[in-house]
Amino acid sequence: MKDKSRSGDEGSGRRRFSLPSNPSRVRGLVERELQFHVEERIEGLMAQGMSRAEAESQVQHLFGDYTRYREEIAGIDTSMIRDQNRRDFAGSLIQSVRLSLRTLLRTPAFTTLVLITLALGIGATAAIYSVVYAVALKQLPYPDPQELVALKHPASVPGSGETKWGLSVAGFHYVDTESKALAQLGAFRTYSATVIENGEASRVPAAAVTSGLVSTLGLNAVLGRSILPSDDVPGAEPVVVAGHSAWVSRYGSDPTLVGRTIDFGGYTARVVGVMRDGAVLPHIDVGATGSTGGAMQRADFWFPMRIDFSSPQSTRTTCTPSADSLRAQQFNKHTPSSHSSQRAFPSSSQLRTAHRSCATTALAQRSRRFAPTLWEQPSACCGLYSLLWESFL
Amino acid sequence: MPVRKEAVPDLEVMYGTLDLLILKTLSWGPRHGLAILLWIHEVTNNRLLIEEGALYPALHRMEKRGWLSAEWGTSDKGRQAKFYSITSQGRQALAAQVKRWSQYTQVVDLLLRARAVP
Repeated sequence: MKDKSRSGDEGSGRRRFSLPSNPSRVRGLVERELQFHVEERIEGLMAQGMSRAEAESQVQHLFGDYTRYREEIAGIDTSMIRDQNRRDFAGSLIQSVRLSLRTLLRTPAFTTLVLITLALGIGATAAIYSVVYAVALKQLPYPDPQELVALKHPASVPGSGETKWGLSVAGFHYVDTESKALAQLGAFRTYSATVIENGEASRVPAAAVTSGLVSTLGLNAVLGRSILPSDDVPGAEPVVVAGHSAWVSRYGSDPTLVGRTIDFGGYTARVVGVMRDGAVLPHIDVGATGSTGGAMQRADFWFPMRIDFSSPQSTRTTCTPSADSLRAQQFNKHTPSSHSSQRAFPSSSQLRTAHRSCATTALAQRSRRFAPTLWEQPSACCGLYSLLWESFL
Repeated sequence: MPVRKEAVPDLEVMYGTLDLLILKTLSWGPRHGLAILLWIHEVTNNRLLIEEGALYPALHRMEKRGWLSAEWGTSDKGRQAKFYSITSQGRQALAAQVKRWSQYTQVVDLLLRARAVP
């Protein structure tokens, strides 16, 4: 045997050198090492005068269980290589990070530029994503939200190009009677109502909804009942469903609220139920994209929206409790809406739209939208609404 | 060869002692496995019982621990052999083991020499 004439400590680099990087080569090397021992030993014994057979059996006896030792050594080496590879990876990672940091520090101007670019890019992406999430990805809090679509009405205003408005009552009626693609249809409007209690008046958020919307959006009552189709018809008893949060905060969750009559400033309505918790209405941007923008509207009182379809030529909604003075506001061809109405409905010059709004401040604007936003639930295909309207026009 | 296989009493103790013997042997310079074994036999006048195969797991375990480093080289007969040498970590381990061994033997010695309490 011969010393390698290399003394002293061997660095980890040298040690690594003796190891295969691939664990599958381990067994072969172990075999080679043990074979060297066995061969040399046999030759040594034969040199002392033994026959080959004698020497082999003697070495076998001296060595012990060859297979067991080989497997044990292979196991040790495999785990050693795995450790070594892991250390190498961590080491090179640290080295790379250090090198990058040093390089970056040597060029501060470039680094600053890169950092600013990255910060702006990430910030912009995050901002865009949060908008996309709210507008497009976040699901509406209703059953089967993927089937809901907003119905609107393309219209052009001189000077401001093509826009989309909410449906008129006639349009709503048309879709309601003619549409084959929609499973359910409902309409709603939100506004402020006045509540007079104990001699004090207060303004509260309110909504007028059709009974169709109640089933479309699952606006069910936790107490009493929600708005029924029988509440929808003109001339029905004036009823109201209290919003859940109003029921809790305003009436202290008093179950006897159901059946009480509330004064809405000259319009009284009997409370027939309490809306389920979390019942909200989407805020739909009628003018532009029609997206909900993620914002939802809460209502303290839910009224039935009564749309009188009996006479399409004088369609009227008697949807909300408000002063009768506002009733039967006439919008004819002098109003901006008449332009588009004419396009949509040939007889629109005669279409008298009685519109009443509790949000008197938004009257003019509301008049254009007239009947609020409509929701529909197509049975099979959604997004057909524009197609529908194209063919309609 | 004076080695009798049935004379291996307890592998656990054997391994521990074997580490010490290997480290001490390698402290004189790099050797391959068989050379370590022959050197131990030579120095101890063949009085130690070592199952030869047990040498190699011990060598590899100490290599994994960083006490030994290994390198393939050529033996004096021209064969490829794996040579082991002790690292600085191995030297520290050797010193610690030598100390522990002498303390252990001292304690055992004390106990064996003790007389019964009157």
